[in-house]
Order: sequence, then structure tokens, then C-alpha cells
Amino acid sequence: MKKACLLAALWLAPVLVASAQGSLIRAESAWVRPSPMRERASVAYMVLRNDGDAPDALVGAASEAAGMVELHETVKAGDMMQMRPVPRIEVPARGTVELKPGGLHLMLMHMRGDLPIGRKVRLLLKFEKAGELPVDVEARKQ
Amino acid sequence: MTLTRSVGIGLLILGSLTAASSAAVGFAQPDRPSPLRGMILEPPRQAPDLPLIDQEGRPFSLSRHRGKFLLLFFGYIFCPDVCPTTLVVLANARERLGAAAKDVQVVFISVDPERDTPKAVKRYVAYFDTTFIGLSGDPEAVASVARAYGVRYGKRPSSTPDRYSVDHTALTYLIDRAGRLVAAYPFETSVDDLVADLKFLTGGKR
Repeated sequence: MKKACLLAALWLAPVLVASAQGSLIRAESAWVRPSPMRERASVAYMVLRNDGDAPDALVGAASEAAGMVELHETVKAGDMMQMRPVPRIEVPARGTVELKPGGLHLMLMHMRGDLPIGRKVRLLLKFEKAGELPVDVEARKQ
Repeated sequence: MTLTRSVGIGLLILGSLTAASSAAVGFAQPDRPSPLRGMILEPPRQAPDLPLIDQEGRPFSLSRHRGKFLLLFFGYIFCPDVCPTTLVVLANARERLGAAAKDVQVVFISVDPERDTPKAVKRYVAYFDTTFIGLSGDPEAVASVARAYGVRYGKRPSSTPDRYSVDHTALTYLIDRAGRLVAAYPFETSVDDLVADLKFLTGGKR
């Protein structure tokens, strides 16, 4: 069952977006946490890959599923876990950056409704150079 | 209890668990061979009571759960990253335990008394595992319980007032069958490590 979920997430054909300045961005292994209740926030994780020769940066995101999407980072300050908004997430040239549990992530707030397991939502990622990249993500538990 | 460790047990401590600083509660990576992979509290002490309200709106009693192992996690519903990550690990660990899972009770304790009502907590915990207990309480009660466990938390204001996040310590505490606080697990402890400890403990003599 879990394996099936994992496989289901891998089918997501990565879409990519390129900029004239030489960044070439795609999002891989993207997933979003189901949200059993509207008052709860959700979160999206993924690997951003830049096959271009110039660095780029994720500078914003939006989704039909949420009224507001922010770039966040969970950081450990002493033994406290803190969540802080970040203005941008750098994607190095010929490199990747991972948005993952306990680290960088997209926080979905003002959910427009419940987000059950299996539901697919579209995220619109905004990059400094490459512009907008739509990514379809599925809600799964892990 | 099975927690008396001897060098002869021959089980290795994994260095993989980062020692979260938790001096306030006295948990430490054991400096001698221990059968447990978590940070242990030595000597174990009586777990502070949890005079809070459960997800059905009833007063919770820790002593009623004697005979079971309890895993306590302090968090909040609006928490998108750390809390669901941890609760999914705890749910997976119970699933992996099979029959022994009946001896392991997970308890989520909200540190967001302003927003987290018993009703909301009920829907929240059931989403992870229908056996989970979820506790909430008034600000004073929550603060007092948190203090007793060495848990710290504080609101972090956000762009919209009702969408604040809460900074919090993220240890999962383990209480044994006798109601003693014996170990703690830092954020990002693996399901494997938890299952290993729980199997060891639940397999032990009562």
C-alpha cells in the first residue's frame, strides 16, 4: 500500500521551465500533506532541479487549494523548532535544492477546503529568472 | 522492569540520534551500553501528571494508563511540518509493532490553547491513527504541564494574526508501564529506532 503511494507519487512527470538567462528548472517528487480540516495548514515538499548554467531562486508560490502559500524553513534553535518565512530559496546552477520535512517547505494557509489523501492540487511556483512553473502534486501521508 | 541495563546485554547504542539539548529534563545519550536507542532519563522518574482534557472533552488521567507504554508529543494543529512529520512516524511505528501496538498509547498534547479545542484535536489525531489520544487545556494548565516536562513553546506572530505559528521543543517522551518517564526521542527519530525500542520494551516482562 505504502509502496503504491510512493509509486503513485513518482509518476508525476516533471514539467520544466527555462529562462533566457540560462536557468532550467524542474520540480521532482513533489507531494503535499493532506489536511483533514480547513483550519489546519498544509505543506508541500519537492526537489527543485536546475539543469541550467545560471542559478535561479524560488521567490513565491500560489495554489488553487490555499488562499496563501509562503516559503518557509523549519530551523532548530537550541532545542526549539521554529518556523520562519524565507524570501527566496536558491536553486544552484547544475544543482538541486530539497524541500523536505524538518527543513525548507511551502506552507499552504487559508485552505479553501479539506485536502483528502489522493486529491491532486496544482501549485504555481514563481522563479526569479525562469518565471512561473505549474506543478501538480498529490496529497499523501508521507 | 526491563530497563535495568547491564553491559552484558550487548546491544549497541546508535550514534545516529542527535543529542538534543534537554538538560532541563535530564535526558542524555547514555554513556554506557543501553538497550535503548533513545535518549534515556537516568534514573527514570515518575512522569508528571497530565491534568488536561481529552478529545472527548473528558478529564485525562495518566494513572489510568498504567500497564501501557505512552508516547507523548507536544505540538499544535496548525503546525504544518514538524508535528505531522512526528505523528506520522509514531503512527507508522505502532503499525509496525503489530500485536504489541496495543501496549503503546500515543498522546498528542496541544501547546496552542487559543486555537486547539478538544473537538478540533479529535479530528486532528484521528487522522493519523484512530487510537491516538489528543489533549488540550486552558493556557495555565498547558503551561504547567509543559513546565513539568521541560517543554518550551511560544507564539511566533505572522502576517495574519490567526495564522501564527508556535515555536516548540519537539521531543517525544516515553513513559513506561509503571508510569515512569524513561526516554525521549528527538525530532526526526526514525521509525526503525522507535520500533526497536518499543519491541524491546513491550517484549520485556511486566
